Amino acid sequence: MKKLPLEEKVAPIRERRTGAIRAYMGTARQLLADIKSGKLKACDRAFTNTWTCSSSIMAGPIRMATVSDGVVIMHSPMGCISNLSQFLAPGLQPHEETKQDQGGYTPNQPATYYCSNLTEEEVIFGAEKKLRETIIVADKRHHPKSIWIFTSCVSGIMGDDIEGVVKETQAEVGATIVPIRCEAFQSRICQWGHDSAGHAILKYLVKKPEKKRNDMINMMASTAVWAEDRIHLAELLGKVGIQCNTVPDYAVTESFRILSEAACSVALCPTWSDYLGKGLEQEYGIPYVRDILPLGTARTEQWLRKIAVHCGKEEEMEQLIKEERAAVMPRIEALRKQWQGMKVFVSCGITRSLHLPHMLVNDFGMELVGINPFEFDEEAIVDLENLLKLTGGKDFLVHVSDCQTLEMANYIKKLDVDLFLGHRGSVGFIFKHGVPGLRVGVAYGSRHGLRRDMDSGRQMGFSGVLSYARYLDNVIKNPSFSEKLSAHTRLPFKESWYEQDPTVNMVDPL
Amino acid sequence: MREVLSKILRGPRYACSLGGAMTTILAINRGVPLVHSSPGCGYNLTLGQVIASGYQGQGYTGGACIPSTRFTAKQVVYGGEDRLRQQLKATLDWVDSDFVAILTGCTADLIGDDIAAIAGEFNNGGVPVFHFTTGGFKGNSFRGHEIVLEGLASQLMKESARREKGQVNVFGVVPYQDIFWRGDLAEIRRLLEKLGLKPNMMFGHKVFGLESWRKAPEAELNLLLSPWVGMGFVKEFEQRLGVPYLVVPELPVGPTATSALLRKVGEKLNIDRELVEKVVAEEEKEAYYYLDDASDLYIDFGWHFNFAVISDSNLAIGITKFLTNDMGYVPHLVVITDDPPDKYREAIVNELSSLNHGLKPQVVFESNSDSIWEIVGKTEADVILGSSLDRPVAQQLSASHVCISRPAVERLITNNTLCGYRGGLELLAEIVTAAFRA
Repeated sequence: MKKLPLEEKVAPIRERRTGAIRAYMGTARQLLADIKSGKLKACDRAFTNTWTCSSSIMAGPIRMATVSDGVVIMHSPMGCISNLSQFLAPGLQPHEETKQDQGGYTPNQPATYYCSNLTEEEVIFGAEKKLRETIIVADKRHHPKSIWIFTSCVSGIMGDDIEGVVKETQAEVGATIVPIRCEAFQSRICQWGHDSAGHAILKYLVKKPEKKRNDMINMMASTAVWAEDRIHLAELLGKVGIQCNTVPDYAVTESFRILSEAACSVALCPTWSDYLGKGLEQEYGIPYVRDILPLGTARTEQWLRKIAVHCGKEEEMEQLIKEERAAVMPRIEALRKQWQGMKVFVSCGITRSLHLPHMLVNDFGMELVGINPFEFDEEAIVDLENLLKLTGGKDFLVHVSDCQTLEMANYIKKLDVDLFLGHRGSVGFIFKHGVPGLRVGVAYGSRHGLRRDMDSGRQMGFSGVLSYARYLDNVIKNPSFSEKLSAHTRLPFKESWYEQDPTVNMVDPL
Repeated sequence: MREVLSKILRGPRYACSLGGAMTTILAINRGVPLVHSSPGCGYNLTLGQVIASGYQGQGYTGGACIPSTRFTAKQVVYGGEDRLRQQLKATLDWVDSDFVAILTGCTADLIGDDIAAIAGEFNNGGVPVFHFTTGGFKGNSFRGHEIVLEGLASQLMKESARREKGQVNVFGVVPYQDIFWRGDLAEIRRLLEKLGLKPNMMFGHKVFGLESWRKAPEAELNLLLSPWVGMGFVKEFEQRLGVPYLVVPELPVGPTATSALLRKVGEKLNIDRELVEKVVAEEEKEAYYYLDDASDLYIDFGWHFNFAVISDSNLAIGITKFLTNDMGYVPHLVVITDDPPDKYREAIVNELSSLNHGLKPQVVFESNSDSIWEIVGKTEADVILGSSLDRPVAQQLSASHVCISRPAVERLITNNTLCGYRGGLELLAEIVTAAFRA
């Protein structure tokens, strides 16, 4: 593993650090052969649709804005921050107060996100002064423990000396300032923003360990993993005496400082925590568990066992696994009978596209037709090999794209798919093609209006399998909306496009 | 440029000029925005300006279908023009559209790509390609909306010798930013049609998309429903294309304001007064049938409220007038959040100071949520009409909260409207429902 350059101001982009690619069309076997023989070439697209960027979503304003004693500053024109209001909707936030080891969330926190609001004046005269002013205003008003600064394309092109401002201003404010350099044009792989956040957390927040704690793990879960899952897993681990230090969502600033004291780091979203997990391993020798996610019963077992080893809780864990399994297995057997052989396609970030099929195939007996991860790199080789083992060697389609709707629409019409599980955004367009599907995660805002006694909103752990099945059951049992909608909706791509091979869109970079 | 330095913003209620321009294009039937910018601008702004506006959908080619050049460092250094040509060609090849609008983001504007020249290369009698310089640092959503209006006028519209009798172009409602724009425009259209006019709606799925814009110069009147957004545009429209304008500085809510609008339009276009009065009488009778029934609850429960509004100027004026002049509520506070240029502010204050019975709410121009919440925190109003961001402060005050402005993330908006006779009834129902639930 290459050493992470923590002495640098900026994290290396994904393309360079892990050789990540964002455009590929082929099968699992082909992709593995190509990447292992070094033949995998980075291609580009003639037509791309917009997706998220490293700066305004990925790096984490949405994540860090949930840090309850922190304030977010977007050093950008005002548009870059507009999506925050959508993510921080009251309906999408946890309903009840949660304990600190599960995120420490207090309901009804008014959104503490600022925008330095760069305009033409700052573009001409520089914006360092304005950033400084924003930091001081935020500090005075909120007395936060941390102030997270996210840079933007404009501040990057203007060449603002962010670190200089931080150095100069830090002495004047009570909060720790954490500058995240994530100018979106630097990388088309927006997951680089995660790395930038990890880089800054390691540089500015993590402190030297005062003690080693065998009973605490770092649970790294991005927003894509709902509070329900985090809370459920923390409760599960709590039963055998393992505490979770959950970052970044709903964490407190202190959670980041003590990352260095844990027995191990566990990735619930391996692409979010790639840099942070590895960095903690590199700097403080904390083992990083990334290859197994608690999605599906078999993987949940393996995941729990792995953590137990790091914490020395093997015996207690076996007992817990036995109890938890017994409670869910009979119902899962029944589900498998219903859904056996159903053809499923999974399209989303690495977390679910490479790990959720374990639940779909192993627990529900579905057949994996294809996956569409946002990016692919050397880190994902093992995960893809695991999926091939899961399907018993049966090959499947792999389309690497960050929700590239044009290409997806093309092949999804030709594939025989019973259920399409996709990321928000593109999944809607597939749905309108008449393919029954849903958001791959659970329902948004799942802590509101859905049955709590049925564990609504869970996807991970043993009971998460049942809860997720209940969520899928609705669309599997009744795909009427998709059928009717596709009959009444006009799609934006020309008929002639569907006659093409979608790879014609993949071209050499300009 | 504004005299005052642009302010730091907490929880802004609008996005940037690219956001306003992109949603304006999306609101024109079968128009495709091509975002010439960094990878995330299009989708981020979809979340901010489309989804956070009452979960309005991605639609035909919005959201994860918006073509984008997705700048990399290479384009920043060497220019993005070749990449734009590549994306534009592919868009015209595969996407079924009536026009493509190149919209620049900050990156493209900072490096200065010549988008007009590239649009020209592709304008060969096929699907028209327009170009707009909308980098986010140039202004807010409202400015972006105006840039599209002005750009379409200069790139598409030609002076017409022909006048279409009764054609009225409707401007001033900013799509998506006004979360009720679809229902609002439908209600305006319905009412103008009742006057025997031919409303030319520039936005919405039921209209003819670009065709509405092409035939705009044939209109008898441009109707602007805002005290400032598009003001420069309608004035220039009159000078260059000879179409007169009528400014109604509000989105009319409820019977009094809506009837006043119909009379003003009638007068301006010399419509038979009898017809106008017949329509007004019919509509008012219908509205008061329901208001009469609702009055039992109003009186028996003692729900005679006072209120504060936090919203963009045209809706704030409309709501304040309806609740004060029609419903007899007491206006405490009006916070105008759309940052109108200074020269329009006095007129807005005047509108809000000429209410029935000499009532004068406190009027504040403020876009920064920190300051908004500070001011709202001191109000004694029972009902707070604002965005979803204002729910916590309303809860702290144990006031009722009605979500009427962007960001609106706690309600789904379909064909709802606060505008016209119907809109007044809907707003009343919203307030009472909110009060029951608070």
